[in-house]
Amino acid sequence: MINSIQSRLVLSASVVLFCFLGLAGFVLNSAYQKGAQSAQNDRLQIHLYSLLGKAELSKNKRLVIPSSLSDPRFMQVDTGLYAYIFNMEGNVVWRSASSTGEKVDVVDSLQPGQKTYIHGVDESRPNVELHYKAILENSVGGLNTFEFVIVDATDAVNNQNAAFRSVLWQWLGGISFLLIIMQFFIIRLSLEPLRGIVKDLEKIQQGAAKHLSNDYSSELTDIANTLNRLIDNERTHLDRYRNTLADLAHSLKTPLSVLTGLYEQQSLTPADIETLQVQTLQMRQLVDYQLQKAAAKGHLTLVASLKIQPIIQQIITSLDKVYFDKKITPIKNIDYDILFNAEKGDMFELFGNLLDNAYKWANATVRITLQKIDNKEGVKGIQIIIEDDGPGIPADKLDEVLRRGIRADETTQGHGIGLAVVSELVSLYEGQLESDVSPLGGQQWRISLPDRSIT
Amino acid sequence: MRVLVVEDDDVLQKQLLETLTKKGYAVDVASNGQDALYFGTEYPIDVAIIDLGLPDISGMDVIRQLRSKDITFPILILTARTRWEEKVEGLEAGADDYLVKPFHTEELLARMNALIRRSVGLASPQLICGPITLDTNAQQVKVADSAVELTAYEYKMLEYMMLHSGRVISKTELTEHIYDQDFDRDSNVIEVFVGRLRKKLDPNDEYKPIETLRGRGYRFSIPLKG
Repeated sequence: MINSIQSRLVLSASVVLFCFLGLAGFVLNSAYQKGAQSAQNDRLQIHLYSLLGKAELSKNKRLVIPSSLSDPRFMQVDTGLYAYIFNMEGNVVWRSASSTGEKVDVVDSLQPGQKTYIHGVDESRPNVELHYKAILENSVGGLNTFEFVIVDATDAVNNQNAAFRSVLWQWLGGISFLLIIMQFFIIRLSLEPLRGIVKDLEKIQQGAAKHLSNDYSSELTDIANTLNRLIDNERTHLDRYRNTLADLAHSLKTPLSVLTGLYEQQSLTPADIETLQVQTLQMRQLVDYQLQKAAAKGHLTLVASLKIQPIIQQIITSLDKVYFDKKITPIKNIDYDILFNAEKGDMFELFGNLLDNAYKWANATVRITLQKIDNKEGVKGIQIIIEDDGPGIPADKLDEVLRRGIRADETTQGHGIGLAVVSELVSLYEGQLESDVSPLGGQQWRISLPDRSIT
Repeated sequence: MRVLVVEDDDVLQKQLLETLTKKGYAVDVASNGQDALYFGTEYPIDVAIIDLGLPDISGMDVIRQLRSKDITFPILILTARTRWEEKVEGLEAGADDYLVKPFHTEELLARMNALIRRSVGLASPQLICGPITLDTNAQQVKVADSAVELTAYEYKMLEYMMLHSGRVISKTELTEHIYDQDFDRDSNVIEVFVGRLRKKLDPNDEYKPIETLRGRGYRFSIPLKG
C-alpha cells in the first residue's frame, strides 16, 4: 500500500494538512483565550476604578463608601462578582453585599499603587482576583492605606472559550476532511496518465498492443517515447537473434551434407582433404559471421553518447603492434570531440574490421578521417573514411566481399568476414557504405552514420 | 626456441605440444594461470601462447602480471572470442598478437616466428648471415643459394644462434632453449649438434660460421643482416 504513489501522496499531504491545521487551531485558540482574558481584566479594572472613585476617607481616617455600587451584581448573592476593602492590618473594612459567604485573602507583598491578578478556584467556581493597594487622603491631609480586591467568576469566560474551541475544531476538522477528500481526487486525476501507461504495458505484455499510445500527458511523452524505442530495440534484437539462429542452422547444412558425403570414402584422396578444408573453413566463417552479427547492438536509446576518438586510437595502437613488421604510417584526421550514440562494442567491430583490412592490404600508409555531418538538409551524424595505398578491391569482387561469410579470395589471407560484418553494422545503424579508389591509390571506404540520439 | 603453451583444453594442449615438438621447439605446457606465471617467470621462455579462457586467473591477468614483472618475451593470445574489443584489450594488456580459434597450425607457426624475429628486432622473415639464409616461414636453410637439409633440432639451434649472432652463447643457454626436459649437462649432445651443423653448413670449411670459445660456449661469428 505504502508503495503506491497515490497512497504516498495522500498520506504525506494528510500529514502536512494535519500539522498545518493543528498549528493554526492552536494559535487561533490561544489568541482568542488571551483576548478573552484581557477583556475580563479590563472589566475588573473598571470595577476597581468605580469603587476607588466612590471610596472616601473621613477626617478620622476611616473608610466611607457613601452610595451603592454601579453594577447590580455587587448587590446580589452568588453573582460571582465581589468587592472587598482591607485595612493595613488585613481586616475587612468593607465588602459588597454579594460577597456574603465568600472569602478572600490579602496579598501582603503588594506595595501601594501596585496591582496584581490572581487566578484561582473558589468553591469549585474558577475566578480571577484583582488586588490593588491604594493610599486615600482625607480633606485635612490625613492618609490611610487600603487593599481593594475585586473578584469575578471566570466560568462565563471559560465557557465562552470552550464554545469557541469546539466550534474552531469542528470547522478545522471539517475543512481538513474536505481537503483530504479533494486531495485524493486531485491526485487520482493527476496519476491517471500513469495508470494509462501501466494498462498499455499490460496490453503489450499480453500481445494486444505493439506500442504505447502517446496521449498520456506532456510530461510522460519522453518516457513513452523511450519505452517505445526500448520495446522496438528489444523486438529487433529478438528478431535478429531468431534470424541469426535460423541463418546459421540453414547455412551449416550445406557444408555438413558435403562432409557427410565423405563418410562413404574408404580413404581420403588429396581432393577430399581439400574439400574437408574448404568446408570446415566455410563453417568456421559462418559461425564467426553469425556470432558477430548477433552481437551487434545498434543505436542505444538510453545511454550517453560515446566518444569515438579513443576507440580509434586504441585500435590503431593495437594494429601498430600486430602489423609491426609492415611499418605502416597511420594518418589520423580525426575530430576529437565527436560523440556518437552507439554501442561501444559495435564501434570496436566497425573500426577494428575496417582498419585491420586497411593495415593488411596497405603498402605503407593508412588514412582515417572522422568528421561530423551537419548539412543543410538537417542530416546529422558522422562520416568515416578509411583508405589505404594497397591494391584495392576490384569492383566486380566488391559484392562478394560484402556478402556474408564469403572471402574475396579463398586461398590467401583475405578480407574475411570483416567487411560483411561492417556492412551489416552500417545497415543496422541505418547508414551508408560506399567503396571507391582512394587518392592514396588503394581501397577507400566511406561510411556515413546518422545520429539517432534523442535530443 | 622455448615455447610456453598455456591452454586448459586437454585436446588442444596435446595437439599443440605434439605439433610444436615436431617442429623442433622446446615446449612447456601449463593448464592454468598459476602454472603459467611460474613457467613465465622461472624459465627462459622465448615466446608464449596464452589462451584467454583459463580456469583460475584469466589469461588477460596472466599477461598483465607477467608484463608487470618486466618479462618481455613475446606473447600470442589464443581466443575463441572474435570481438575487437577483446582483442584490443588483450593487446593493451601486453600481448603482441592474437589468433582466433579455430586456427591453422601453419598460421600459428608463422605468427610465432614473426614474434620471435620481432623480439630481436628483425622485420624480415629471412635471417641472412653472409652466405647463410634461414627462411623462418618456409623453415628452409640455404647456403650460397643451395638448400641444406637440417633436422628440426639442428634447425632450431641454427635459428637461435643466428638470431643471437655475435653474442657468446653458453652450452647451458643452448640446452635450455632447445630442450624442454632437464637433460644431462655433461653429455656431449650439444657438441655433436654443433659438429653436424658445421659439417652441413660449411662442408669445405670456408665460412667458419660457428666459433668455439673454450669453457664459455659458442658464437655465431657472421653478423646478421638487417
